[in-house]
Amino acid sequence: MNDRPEADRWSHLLALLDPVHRQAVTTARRLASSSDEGDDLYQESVLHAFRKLDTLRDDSKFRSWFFAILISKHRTRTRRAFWRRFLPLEDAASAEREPAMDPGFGEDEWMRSRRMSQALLALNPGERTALVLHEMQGFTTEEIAGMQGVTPSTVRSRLTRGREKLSKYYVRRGWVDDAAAGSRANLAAVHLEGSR
Amino acid sequence: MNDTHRNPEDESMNAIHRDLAAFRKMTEQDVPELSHVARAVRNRQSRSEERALMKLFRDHPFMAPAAMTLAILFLVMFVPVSFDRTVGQDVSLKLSGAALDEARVKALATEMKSQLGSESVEVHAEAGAGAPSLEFRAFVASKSDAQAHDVLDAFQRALTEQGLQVATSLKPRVERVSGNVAAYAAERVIRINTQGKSAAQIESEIRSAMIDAGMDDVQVSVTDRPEGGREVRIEANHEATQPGQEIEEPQLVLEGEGQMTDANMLRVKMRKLKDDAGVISLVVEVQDKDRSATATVQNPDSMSESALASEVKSQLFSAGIDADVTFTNGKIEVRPR
Repeated sequence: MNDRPEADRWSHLLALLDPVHRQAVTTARRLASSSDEGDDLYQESVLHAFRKLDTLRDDSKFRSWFFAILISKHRTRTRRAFWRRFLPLEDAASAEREPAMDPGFGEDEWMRSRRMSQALLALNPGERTALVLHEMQGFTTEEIAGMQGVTPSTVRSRLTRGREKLSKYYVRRGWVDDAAAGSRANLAAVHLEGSR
Repeated sequence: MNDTHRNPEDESMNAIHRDLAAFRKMTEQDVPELSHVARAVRNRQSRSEERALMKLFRDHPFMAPAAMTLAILFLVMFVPVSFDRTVGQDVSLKLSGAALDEARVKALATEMKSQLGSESVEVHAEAGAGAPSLEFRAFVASKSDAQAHDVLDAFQRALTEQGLQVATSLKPRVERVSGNVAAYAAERVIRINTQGKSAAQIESEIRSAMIDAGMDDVQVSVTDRPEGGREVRIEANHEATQPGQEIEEPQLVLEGEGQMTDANMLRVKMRKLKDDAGVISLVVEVQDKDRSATATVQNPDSMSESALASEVKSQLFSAGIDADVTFTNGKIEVRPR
């Protein structure tokens, strides 16, 4: 039931979105195969949130409610992407275009970003989502469990498997880092500050 | 770090660390303002509402277009088409290494004919340096190769033990037939009349019909429920042998008392697909009354059965079907709540 006037609901939604906007956009981009795809995913999630806003009973729960929508939309898109593999070659090519190099990036940095994006896409959707939310966005396993509709132990398993697979993916492709030799980095320690 | 003791996994972690930082930086570039996103979403909302109106129009067409649609459908159903149909299996059993007398050849051919259920068995002899080799050929009018395969295996084992060299082959015989669209669709429909039949009789008929339709490992269970009605559970497998081969499972229609309709039927279809890159995906399609949902899990073999069940359950729930899902020894059980 959407009893409130539309303009009021938009204002209410934008006020709730404002503190999480940047984090949600970056999450969407990190889950998707490109920034454009991520921005589109974010817009789709905002539209869904607008339509379902009256089902949100407690505004203080907005952040986890909205991220659950974002993850659900992403999962639906991943399923669509799977079927795209059966399209003719030209359709598949147009479905996933390689992004152009950003002029603000050095070639090395752009390449590194691309290969991380590629490696994350090689994980299954559950593992990718758990890794992005935990390692890059700073969500706890309990928060992620609530968003993914699974138990915290399942999230922990996904994180462990995701890290292992990511490491193996890099080793298989010979993506080792001579320049950084000396710092025995551990992905668990690579807890990049999220934009919370 | 000592270069002589470098561990590739540690070095990959360094690369991952740096790549994550670059990825993070790239995804934080040019984040659009919330006001800009709001405008874009409102435009999107308008477009979406226009599409909804068009759908409403399509759902309530006028009579004339309806008649036209029916006429076109009628024509399409009778447009002649050609399609491939598996009509049976060509079976061959080659024997060499020892001479067989006429009585033994005759006994073997008779036994083969009886075991395979074929109308006849042809015996071809080919002269060679030693004893002539013999080939027994038969045709089995079954779309499934499972039964013929078992019979050939049994023959091969028995004859090899008797010191003969045995080679077998089994090829589906495919015929291109001409018919119409309705005939093509009817090929995939199994109709079974349940009127006055016991659960065991129905089980047996469904199993035979599914095997004839080319399905393997068919398990059927029909049980009379204490509260009335019958529960029919069917499990069948079919493995594609060619890349991109589409497997069309037959549609089962039970006629007679207690007709099976979509309103009281739960369909669960599980497929494992491998794409060109070798990535395996598990696709579970569930249709429960008027609701349907699909769950897709990539790399299912790397997951435990409980994790797999949890992922499928979660995806089905997101798609509107609340069900308990369990996997046991690779078999799925879906119970809507």
